[in-house]
Amino acid sequence: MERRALRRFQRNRGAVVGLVIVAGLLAFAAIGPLLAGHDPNTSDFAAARDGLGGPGGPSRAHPLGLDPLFRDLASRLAHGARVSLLVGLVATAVSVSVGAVVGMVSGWAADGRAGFVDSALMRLVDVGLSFPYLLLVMAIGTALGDVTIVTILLVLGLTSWFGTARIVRSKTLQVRSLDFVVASRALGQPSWAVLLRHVLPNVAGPLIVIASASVAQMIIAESVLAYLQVGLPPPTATWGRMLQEGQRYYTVAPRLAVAPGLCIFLGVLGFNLLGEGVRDALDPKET
Amino acid sequence: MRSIPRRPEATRLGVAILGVALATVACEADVAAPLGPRREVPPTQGGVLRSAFFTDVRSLDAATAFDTASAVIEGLIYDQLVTYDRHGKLSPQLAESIEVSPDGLRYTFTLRRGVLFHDGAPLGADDVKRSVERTLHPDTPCPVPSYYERIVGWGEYHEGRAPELTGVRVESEHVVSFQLAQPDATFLHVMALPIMAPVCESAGRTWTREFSRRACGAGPYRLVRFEHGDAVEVERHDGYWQSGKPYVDRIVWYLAMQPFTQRFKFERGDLDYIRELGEADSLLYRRSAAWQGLGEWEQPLSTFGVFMNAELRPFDNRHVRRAVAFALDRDQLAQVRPGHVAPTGRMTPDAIAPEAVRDVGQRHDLDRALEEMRLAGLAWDPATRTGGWPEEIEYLAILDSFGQQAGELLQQQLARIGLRVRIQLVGFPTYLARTGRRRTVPMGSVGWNADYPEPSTFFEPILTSRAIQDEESQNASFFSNAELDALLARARVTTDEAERGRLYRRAEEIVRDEAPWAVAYSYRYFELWQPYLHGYRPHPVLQQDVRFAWLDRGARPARAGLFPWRRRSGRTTLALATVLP
Repeated sequence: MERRALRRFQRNRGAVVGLVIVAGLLAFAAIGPLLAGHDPNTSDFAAARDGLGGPGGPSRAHPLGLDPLFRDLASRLAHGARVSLLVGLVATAVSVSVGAVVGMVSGWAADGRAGFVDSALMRLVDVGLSFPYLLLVMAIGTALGDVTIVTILLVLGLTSWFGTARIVRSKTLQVRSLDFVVASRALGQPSWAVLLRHVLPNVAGPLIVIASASVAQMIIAESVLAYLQVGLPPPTATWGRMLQEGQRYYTVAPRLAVAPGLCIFLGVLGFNLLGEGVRDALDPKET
Repeated sequence: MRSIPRRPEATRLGVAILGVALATVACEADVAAPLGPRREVPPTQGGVLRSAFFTDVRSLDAATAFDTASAVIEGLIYDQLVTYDRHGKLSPQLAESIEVSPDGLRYTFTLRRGVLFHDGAPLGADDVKRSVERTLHPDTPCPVPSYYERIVGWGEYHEGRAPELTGVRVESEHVVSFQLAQPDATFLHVMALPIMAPVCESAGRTWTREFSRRACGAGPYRLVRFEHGDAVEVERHDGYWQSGKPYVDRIVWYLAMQPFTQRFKFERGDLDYIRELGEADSLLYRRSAAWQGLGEWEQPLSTFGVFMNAELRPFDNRHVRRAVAFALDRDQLAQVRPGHVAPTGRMTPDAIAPEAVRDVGQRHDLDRALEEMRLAGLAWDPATRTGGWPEEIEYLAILDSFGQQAGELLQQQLARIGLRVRIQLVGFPTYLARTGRRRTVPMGSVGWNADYPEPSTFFEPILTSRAIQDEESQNASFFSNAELDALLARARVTTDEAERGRLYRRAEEIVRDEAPWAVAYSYRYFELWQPYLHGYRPHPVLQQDVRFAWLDRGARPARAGLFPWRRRSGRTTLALATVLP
C-alpha cells in the first residue's frame, strides 16, 4: 500500500512541485546562512545608498543588496528561513501531538463510563475553535511581552490543536468499532496499549496531512506576529519583520518587501501543495 | 479541501504570480501628482481637514498632556494668555495686553473682552486663576510644575499646605496678575504652554481622568470625538473671539496610522496634509517638480538620544554611562535617514543654542569608551570578547519609530564595548508610562521637543531633580545633579544674555560628562500638503499649527480613485494588467 501511495504521489505534479519547494526552503535554511557569509545583524556602512536614496542595491558583496539598516538582505532571508521553518515545524509537532492525544482520549472515552471526559474535552475544543486564531495568538504574544522562540513555538502550538483533536476523535470513533480493536479489548489489552498499537497507526494518515498543512499556517502566523512586531524582538531576522521593515521603502526599493514576501508565499504554497499531495496519495477516495 | 488545479490553470497561476513579482520589482519609484490645481483663493469657511499621527494621543487634558501629539490637538482646543506669532516671537493671545513691572516680578494680563469658552461661558480673570490652580494642584500629575515655582505661594500650594495660589491675583473681572518671588527670564514662555490654558468650569477645580475625553477650552475648535487608537475630531467654535475664524468646519486627526498608510491615503485624497513621511517617500516628493511649493522642512527643535537610568545598574556608574556616550556612532544613525537625522552631541538644538554652547558635546570615541568600561570595573576585551556587563540590558523603544532603528544600531555599537542590549518595543502611551515610573526601565530611546525657543527647556523638564517623580516622571534618567539644578535656577533669573550663555554652557558640560543621556541626533520632518490647502506653513515654534488653514473646496477633487498611480507625476512602468490571467 505504501508503494501505491508513493506512486500516486510521484504522479501528482502539484505534490512534486510542493516537495521541491519545501526541499529548496529547507536547504536554504540549512546552508543559506553559510553561503551568504555575512552576519545578519551587522551593518555594512561602507556600502553606499542607491541613487534614489534607498538602501544599497545588489552588488558583488551583497547579492540581494542591503536592508534599511545596511545589513545583508540575503543573510537575513536565510536566517529568517531558519526561524520560520523551525517555528513552523516544531509548533506543528506540538499542535499535532496535543491534538492527537486529546482526540484519541476523547474518542476512546465517548459513550462509555468516562463519557464526561469526552464531553469536557470537546467543549474545550468548541471554545478554542470559536476564538479567531490570529487574534488569540496576537493577544497572548502581546501579553507575554518578553518573547523568545520557545514562547512563540508554545503559543502557536498550544492554540492550534483544536481542529486536529476533533478530526482525530472522529477517526478514533471509527477505528474503535473495528473487529480487531474489539477483539483486542476483549482479550484484556489495556486501553493505552490498544490506542498505541491499533488506533494511532490508523489515524497517522490524517495526522500527516494535517501536519503538512499546519506548517503553512504556522509560517503565516509567525509572519503575522513578526509583522505586527509582537513576535521575536529585533534584530532577529524573520520574514514577517523584514516585510514590515521593507514596506516603507516599497516605492524606491521594492525588493526589501518583495523578497521576504516571496519567501513567505513559497513556504505556504510549498507546504500546502505537499499536504494536498500526501492526502491524495494516502486516501485517493477522498479526492 | 479543493483539488489541485490542472496543469493549464496551475501554469497560468504561476505565470501570473511571477509576473506580479517582476512587475513590482520593475516598478519605477514615483509619486502621484498633487490633487487639483493650486489657486490663490482668499480664506473661506467650510470643509473638513484631515491628517494623521502614527502614535496615539494619550490625553487632551491641558493640565497633564505634554507629548508632541497631544500638543498639536491641544493647540486646536485651547488658547493661552500668550502664544507665538509666525516669526516665533511671543505675542498676546487671550490677553489683550501684558505689563511687566520694572523689577520683573509682576506680570499683569489684561484679558480680551468677549472671549467665550466652548460651553458658552465668558472668560474672566477668575477662570485663569482657577485653571492655573487646577494645573498646579498637588493631586494633578502635571509633568512640569517646576516651571512655575517662582510664582509666590507655589511651594505652599503645590505641597497642599495652602488652599490657593496666592501669587495669582484676580485684580478685576478681566485683569489677572502673577507675582513672582524672583525674576524669571522664561516666564512668558512657560505661560505660552497649553498647560496654562484656561479651561471650562466643567474641568472642575481638581484634575480627573475623565476631562480628557470632554476637553473644553477657549480655542478655535471644540472637541467632538476622541477615541484612542482611532481619531480625534474637532469642530469650529462659532463663538471664537477672532471674528470669522477659524475657517475649516472640522478637523479630523487619525491616530495610530503607519507612515506607509498615511502616504497612500494622502495620495488618494483621504488626508490633506502629511508630516510623517518615510525618508524614501519624502525624498521622492522633494525631487518631484509637481510638488514644489507644497512642502517644506520643519524647524528642527528636537533632540534625541538614549537615556540611561542612573538609579539602576549598570548605569548607576557614571563611567558606564560615559562609555555608552563614547561608543555611540552618531554619523551611522544619520546615514539611515539622510536629510531627516542630523548627528549632535549636545542637548540644545542649533536653532536655539547660544554661541557659547556650540562647541560643547559628546563625541564618538571607541577607545575612550573601552577605557571608561575599564574604569567602571567592567573591562571588555574585543579580541577575546570577554568581560563587560554580564546581563542583557533592556532597551525600551517606541514601536515603528526611528528610536527602534537607532536601538538596533546601538545594539551593534554597544556590543563592541561589552554591553548586550535587548530591545523591547511598546506603543507610545506604554512607553510614557514605563519610562516615567521609578526603577523600571534601565535604558531606552528618548527625545525632547522644545516647549519654547529657549535652552532651559532642554534641561529643566527632563534632567533636573525637580523633574523626578515616582510616576509620570519626565526625567527618565532619574538623574539628579545639584550643580546642574543650581545653575539652571540661576539661568532662569538672569537676564544678562552673556551670563546665561555661560551657565548653559556649563549645563551642557555636565550632561556631556555625567551622561544621563547619550545625546545622538536631531530629527526634522518634511511636511507636505495638497494644493487646495491654504494658510499653512511650518511654524518656527508650534508644531503642525493648522488652526487657521483653509480649504479651496472648489479645487479639491471628490476622490482620487482606487488607482492614484494613473496620475503619476512621471512615467510609470507598472505592468500589472498584462499578466493577469
